[in-house]
Amino acid sequence: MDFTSIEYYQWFLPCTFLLAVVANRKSKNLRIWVLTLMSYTFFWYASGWHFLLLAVSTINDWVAGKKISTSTDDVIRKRWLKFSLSVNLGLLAIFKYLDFLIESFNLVALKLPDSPEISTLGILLPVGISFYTFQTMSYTIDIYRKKSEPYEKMVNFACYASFFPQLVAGPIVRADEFKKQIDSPMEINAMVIRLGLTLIIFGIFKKLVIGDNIALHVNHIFSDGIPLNNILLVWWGSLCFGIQIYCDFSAYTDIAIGSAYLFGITLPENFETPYAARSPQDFWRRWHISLSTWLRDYLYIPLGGSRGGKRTLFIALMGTMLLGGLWHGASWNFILWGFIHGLLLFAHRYIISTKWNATFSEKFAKSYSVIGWFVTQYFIFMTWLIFRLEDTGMMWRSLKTFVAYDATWDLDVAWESLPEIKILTCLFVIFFILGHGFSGKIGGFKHWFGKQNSLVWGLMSGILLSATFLYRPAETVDFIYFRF
Amino acid sequence: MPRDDLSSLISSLLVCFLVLFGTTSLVSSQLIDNKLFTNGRYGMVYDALDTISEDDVPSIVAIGSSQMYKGFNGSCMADLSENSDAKFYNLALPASRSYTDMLMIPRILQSDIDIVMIEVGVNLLFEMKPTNGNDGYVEMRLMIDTMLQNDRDLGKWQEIILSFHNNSVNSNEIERIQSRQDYSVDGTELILSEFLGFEEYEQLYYRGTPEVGTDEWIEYLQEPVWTRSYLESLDNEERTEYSVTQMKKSLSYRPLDAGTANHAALHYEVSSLSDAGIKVILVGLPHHPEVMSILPDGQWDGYNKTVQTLVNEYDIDNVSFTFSNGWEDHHFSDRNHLDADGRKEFCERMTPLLNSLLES
Repeated sequence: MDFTSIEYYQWFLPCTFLLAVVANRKSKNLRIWVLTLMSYTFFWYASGWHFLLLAVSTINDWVAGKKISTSTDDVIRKRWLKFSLSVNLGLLAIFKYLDFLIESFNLVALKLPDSPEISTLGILLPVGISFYTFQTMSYTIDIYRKKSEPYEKMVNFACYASFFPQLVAGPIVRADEFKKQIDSPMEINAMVIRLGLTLIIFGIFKKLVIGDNIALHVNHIFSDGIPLNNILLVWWGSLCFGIQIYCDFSAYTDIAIGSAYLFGITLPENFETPYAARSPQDFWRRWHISLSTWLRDYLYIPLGGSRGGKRTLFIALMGTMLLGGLWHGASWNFILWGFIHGLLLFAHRYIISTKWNATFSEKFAKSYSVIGWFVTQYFIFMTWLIFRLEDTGMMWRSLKTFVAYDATWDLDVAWESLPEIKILTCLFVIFFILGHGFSGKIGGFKHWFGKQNSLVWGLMSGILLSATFLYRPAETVDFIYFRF
Repeated sequence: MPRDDLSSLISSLLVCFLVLFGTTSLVSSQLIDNKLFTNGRYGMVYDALDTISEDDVPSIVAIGSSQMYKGFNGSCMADLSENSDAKFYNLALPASRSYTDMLMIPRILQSDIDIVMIEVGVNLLFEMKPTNGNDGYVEMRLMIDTMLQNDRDLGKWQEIILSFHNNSVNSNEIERIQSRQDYSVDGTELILSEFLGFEEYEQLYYRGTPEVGTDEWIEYLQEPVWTRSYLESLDNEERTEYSVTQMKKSLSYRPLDAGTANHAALHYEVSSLSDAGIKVILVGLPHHPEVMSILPDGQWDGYNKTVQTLVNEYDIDNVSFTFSNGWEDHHFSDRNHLDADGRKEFCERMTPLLNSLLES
């Protein structure tokens, strides 16, 4: 079960909502119990026995959090922190990275004489492990840093760690933010319910209509037999993938935030029109915000951040982005993707520190802004090729074509190479670009739309749902971030 | 929650659902029609039956395969009919068979029809297997038909559907909506292609059906668009080759006498219609005389036995032109299908029988 399955809307969400409302009337604690049990039920349907890993992670951080907060001895506190991080990172290492390490070892071993080849273990990646591990790790670290207090009851902490709307693919929530809300009684009013439903409807539309239809083009373009030396085709493919991944992931976040609203919980926003970013730094302030801020707080700043010289900055940026890339998946593609983003961030920091940049940005503010946007987005969409193409040959070919190296410009070939449904997909792309721009201007289209009167709201929701019924492709594409 | 808040929420949801159901049913039917433009006839049956149910005159409907489709001219029959009000509708579909036709029986029962002519042909009485190569068509027909249905079209035919066809059958509104989605995307693309000039409208229109409710639509239901005679388009050499090769292909038909899903469908069709007081007449269309001349004795006995069983069991009429004399080369478009002359001949032979049935 996930946010695109009919079961979620048919029984899971309504049942959980009703149970939570009834439980809330009895007591706050009962509501927390209901939410925790239903979250585990959701996780069981999504991930099977892997729910045990969530339980292990929860118990580990709960115990460690308590021990750290009650101890005054720094050695003991540090020992518990190390223990907690080891368990969390150990789970990640085993379930996410072990096979990748074995494969990488085998690659190196191939070059050496008489080296043994180790078989991979074929471990299935537990759904959401990267998200909930980071979430629970931040809890323990914050207690260690004395930035927050531990949860009083274990069930409250379990609810935080397992809260089903954001369990599988975020947003990554900080323990303090959640604690304040879960400790207050659940307040239900029409505005909140309508806002929740707006976000859910928006998310469904974005994922199933725009994301999944555009995905058909992406999957077709980046398959065997397509002339990837055609620059128009590669540009179109990377544009489509950029839109697909945004629609896919931000839709998940919208549905998560919308679902959480129904239970009186406000989750943080994860996206702020990232394709309007005018610099790599700006992009990371708008893209996957909950991960970016997590990496900033728990990796970039401890590594020195921008407080030292250029060398410290370079190390901090590269370290953060390499690990950020690796967080996405056990693959050299993600490491390379993180590496290039690290370089882009460093190059941007370097450029903005120069004198000529300050002069140019002052004298030609508008041109500076447009050029900044164009250059940023050019590199962002180029790096999406690295993110998308697992096949190394295909990736290098596409990257060369993207920068017009050894590329052709034949429009007819590009048009003929696209799948059967072309015009409609082009319209979806145009619709997305206009919507993205408009949304940026009014500070979030969905929030504006959620506040409209009954007639306008009903009309627009009806249209979005109708479009979803009519234009959802036959096969739903899995949420991309489920793999992470 | 305050009462005002609640009523505002309820009214929002009400508007949302009204828009949702209104637009999906309106838009999807438009889009489906467009998608089916290139083979529009397969999507017309339920609209046709709804149109027929609205007229207050005696209605005669013919169902069956391309043999009936190319042989039945409703306008000619209306001209020759002794009942000047009677209307004769051709709802036969290329490659159709009782197994696919049975899906329209519940709607026929609700359409105030007086006589149903059911084609029983030698090419329609075979056993369907998932590997016999015909399933692409059957799956397409089942998908389109059940997609355009609603709950009142469900019936005993569901029990006859073979298990390997279950995935092609939409048996509730959610499944129907999901199937319409596939066609909506294609339909929109087609409309956009047409709008931008990427597709020739005329080319699509030729194979399509007129807009429902128009005069052209009513006319089309009685006298559909037929392609010109294939045999007439051949020169002498090609005609000889056709006789040697294609004519013999009809010999591969080996109709079974019972036990197939097509037989079960025939029994279902006849019994349901008869029980509802609708007159049923089984019709066997003629084959080219050259086919009949080379047919070995007994090969089509299964067909005779099937017809005989139905006639005896349900006390219905049967008109078989399959083995009757007087059919000549100029009546045929190809080995199995009538052309304009043949339609006229069929009309002249069939109408008096229908007149007597209408009077009885």
